[in-house]
This record gives sequence, C-alpha cells and structure tokens, in this order.
Amino acid sequence: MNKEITLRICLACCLIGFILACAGTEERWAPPVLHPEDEGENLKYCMDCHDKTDEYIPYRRYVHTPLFMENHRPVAIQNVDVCYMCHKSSFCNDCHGVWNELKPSIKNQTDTYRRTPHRGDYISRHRIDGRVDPVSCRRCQGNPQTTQTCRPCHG
Amino acid sequence: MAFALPMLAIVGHRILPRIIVFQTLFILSFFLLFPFPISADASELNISSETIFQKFERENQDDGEFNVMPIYEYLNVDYGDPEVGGLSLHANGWGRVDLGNQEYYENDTDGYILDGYVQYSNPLAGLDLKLGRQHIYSGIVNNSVDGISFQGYAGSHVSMLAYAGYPVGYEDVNGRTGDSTYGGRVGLEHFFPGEFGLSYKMLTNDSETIENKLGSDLSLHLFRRLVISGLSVWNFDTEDWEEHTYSADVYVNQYSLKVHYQMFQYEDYFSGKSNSQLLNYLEDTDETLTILGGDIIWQQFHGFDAGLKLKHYAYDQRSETSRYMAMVINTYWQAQTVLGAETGIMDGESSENSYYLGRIYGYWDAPFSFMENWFLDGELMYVFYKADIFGRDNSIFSSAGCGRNINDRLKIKFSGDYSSDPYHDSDIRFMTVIQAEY
Repeated sequence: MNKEITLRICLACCLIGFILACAGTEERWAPPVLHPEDEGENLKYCMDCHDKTDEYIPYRRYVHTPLFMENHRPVAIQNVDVCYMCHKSSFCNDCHGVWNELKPSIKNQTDTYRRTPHRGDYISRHRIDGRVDPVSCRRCQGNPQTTQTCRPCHG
Repeated sequence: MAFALPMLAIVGHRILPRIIVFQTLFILSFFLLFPFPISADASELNISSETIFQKFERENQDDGEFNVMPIYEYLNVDYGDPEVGGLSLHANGWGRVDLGNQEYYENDTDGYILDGYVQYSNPLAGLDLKLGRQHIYSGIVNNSVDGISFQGYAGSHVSMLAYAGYPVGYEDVNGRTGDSTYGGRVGLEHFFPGEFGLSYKMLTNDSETIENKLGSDLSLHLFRRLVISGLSVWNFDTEDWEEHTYSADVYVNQYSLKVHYQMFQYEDYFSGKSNSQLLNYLEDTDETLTILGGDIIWQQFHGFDAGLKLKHYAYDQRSETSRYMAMVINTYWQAQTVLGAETGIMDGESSENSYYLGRIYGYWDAPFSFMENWFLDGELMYVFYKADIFGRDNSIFSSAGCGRNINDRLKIKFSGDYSSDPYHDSDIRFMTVIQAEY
C-alpha cells in the first residue's frame, strides 16, 4: 500500500480514536501527572511513603537501587508515566534523545554519583563490550541519527 | 495559542516536510473547534536553560590539531499546567557554536530539536494527545516520531497507545520520501496482579521495511515478594523470534534478588534490509546470544546501598563464552553527599575480550559552614585491558568539579577532566555550566 495513504489512515484512526475516547471521558484512576513536590524527602526511595501492596503502581519496582540505571527497562516499557511523575522528558532525552552530541556523562559531569553510561574512557572499552554483546549497542544506537558518532570509524 | 503557531513553524521549518505540517495544522485547527479548556497563563510558562562552555584540544593524523571551544545551549520550554490538563506546549533541544578553529564540527549538525509538541490532556480520564516531535516509550517502541500519538483507556482495565508519523532517526537518509512509522500498544492492567501488553511497530525508510515487529510484555506480582517480568519480540519479516528477555525479582526485607535470562537471534534482531543501520552485517552470522545472570541488591537504610551484577554470555556459533561482574557500593551522608566505588570485570576466554575496571567517586554537598550553597565532586577511574589496544594496556580517567547554588533558580558549575588512554595520550577538558530556570 502507498505509504502516504497508510500514514493518512493512521492519522485518521488516531483522530477517530481520540474523539471516541472523548465521548466516554468518565473519571477513572490514572497515574498522577506529577509527584507532589512537598512530599517525600528523597523521592528515589518510593517505599518510604508508598505501600508495597499498592493496588495500582508496584512502587517497589521503581525504587532507585544502585543498579536501577541498568534495570529500568522492564518498568519503563509498561508504565513510563510513573517515570514522568518525577522526571521531565528532557531528563530521558540525555540518553534516549535521537541525537545528542554530548554523551550524558559529559553533559552531567559533576553528577559523579549517577552511573551514566559510557563514562570515562568508554571509547576503548566499547571495542570489548561490542564484541561480547553487540545487542546492547544496537538498542540505543539503532538508527542513522543515533549512530553519527559511530560512523567515522564504523562507516 | 499565540505561542503554539510559532513553535509549529519552527518545527516545520527545521524538521518536518510540508505535508506533515499542513496535516498537523489541519488537525490542530479541527480540535480548536471544540471548547477545550486552555489552562495556561503566563505564570505557567516554565523555561529551563543549561549553557555549557567547554575547552579542549584534539589532534589526529589526517586533519591536524584542533583548538575546540564549543558553547552548548540546552533549552526546555513547558507552557501549561499538566495537572490541570487542557492544551500545553513542550519543546526541548540544543544548539552549539564553536569559538575555536570552527573546523572540528564542520561536518556535524549544529543543533537539534529533541522534542517539540502540542499536547492535549485530561488527567482525570488518563487521556493524552500529542502533535509534533515526541519520543514514544511503550512496549517495544522506543522511537522519536514527527507525528501524532494518542494515549487513553477503554474501561478500567485496558490502556491504549497509538502513534503515526515520520521516523526522526531516518530523516537524513535520502530525505523523507517513503519514510513512515506507526504502531502502538494495548495493555491489560489491574485485572490481575500485574500487567500484560501487546505492542506493534512498523517503520519504513525509503519504502523499505526496517522494522515490522510485534512484542508482548508481561509483569506478574505474586506473594507480595515475587515479580516475574519479561518481553518477547516477534519479527514479521524474518518470521521468527528476535528476543526473549525474562526475569524474576524476589524482595526480602532490605534485599532484592534478580535472576534473568535473555536470548537474541542475530538473524532476526539485526535484520532490516538497509545499510543505514549499524551492525547490520551481524544479520548474516546466524548467531544466537544467550545471557544468564543475576543481581543482588542491598539497601540497608538511607545511608548505605550495594549491588552485585553477574552475567554469563554464551554463543551458538562462536566457540567462546564471557562473564561479566560488577559491584557498586554507596555510602550517603547529610544532604546529597555520596561516597561510592564500583568495580567491573569482563572475563572473556580470549584476552582481547577481557578488562578490569575500578572507579571511586564522591559528591560533597555543603562541605563547610561557609560554603553551605556549594558542592565539591570528583572521581578516579582506572581500566586495565588484558590485551593491548593500540599498544597500551590501561586507561586513566579523572574529573573534579565544584558548583554553587546562587539561588533557587540559578546554579553554576565548574569542572575539568583528564584522560590518558589508548585513544588520548594526555587529554584535558574544562567545562563551565550555568543552569537557570525562568
């Protein structure tokens, strides 16, 4: 099928879906848009305030453990709105943005306590990590825009 | 709304082709016929700016020596109150000028719009509609799109997300002709203790299918202490599974234990019928990567936490295996003061796939009574490579910095780093960062 036609159909479907959904906009439970600013001393410890048996959000999975940077994918793919309660999308863009010239560890250099990816001399280590697990490269460097820094050497 | 149209024009001039701009404006004007509440006023305009000054030098054999002095401006604009809902505007991007030789970046983009969209939301009903450049995270979708997305609920147990537009990551490959992407996710939640979702992603570049995938994601909470979660991805082009990722998390008091399994089939994972993607040659290797691993995390109290990560990599075609171990320990004091250390060992059967890493770091908040608005920080990293890289078997990286909160809306940071490694004989960089909120 012609791709422009496909695109138009999808746009129309989104429009129709929105209108249909608006027709039934009864109030229902949804994650809060923002975490209250004046509640919680350290928001990375969700369990200080939230019950681990919470009916709607399994807060225990969102506690920022020392390995949370490597392990946040399973919770983000199912409910990224919980992330947005505390983080603006610009925070996610530091790593996930389609084209960032500064790697996150340079942009946030003084945040030494954050285990941002590619810290320090990763240009040397990536030769080894890339051979062992190339899947981990492709997950973020998965399109021509995000591979701009790879091209001078990798073509 | 006077703010919305210039924003769309900027996005349209810089990024979007004419057709999608007209479609966007048409749909937007259509919505404006409805009496949606426009919640924003001047007090709901939030602008945050991050200005980064850098100074470093580069030298390579082909192009000689560069004196590089870039200034980056990262700007984030939000207009509207997300808690009230209604229409709001969001933009995030960066730009750069080089005050040095101005040749170092001559082949690179001088700036980029990461996000730029108009949003209509109804928080009480969980409705969200976005028009413009946006990043979609949901199920197997982790893509930037110039287009439209809709998120909502059907009843109490079914969540929906749908999107369509142009894939931002492919705009520089022969233009936008023949490019399109669409997909979405349907989730079943609060129906059982956990969530199940089905997601779909279709992406074409120059009329070639790059991705045509279906994913299922699952989380299951059992006995208050056990969470089983995972993701499987089916590739319609190759008609086979490209990924299975599953893990079990057990929570016992201050400990959490994770066991995980991952399997990737390169023929399916790296497929794409396009030379525009990195590592596509792996598609032809018929390799299968299996990763088994586990984490142990200890969060005794707010003053201490530690984590241990183990991974074992095995291959179907290659005859070797590799093991990875990482350990992180953090101690916390008053305010945001942290002292931590991490080690990492990649232990491949061949020496060229092995390294040892050690790193210590610290962040000292309000170090002295006369510096209560200041912080100091530093780190030192050493990496040893079992096989030489360009004739060298180690790397040293260190950074040090300080900063001051001038007031609630203005912060200034100074830092520098030193690197001596296989790629840099002796590299020094200086940075000044000014963070401001208006």
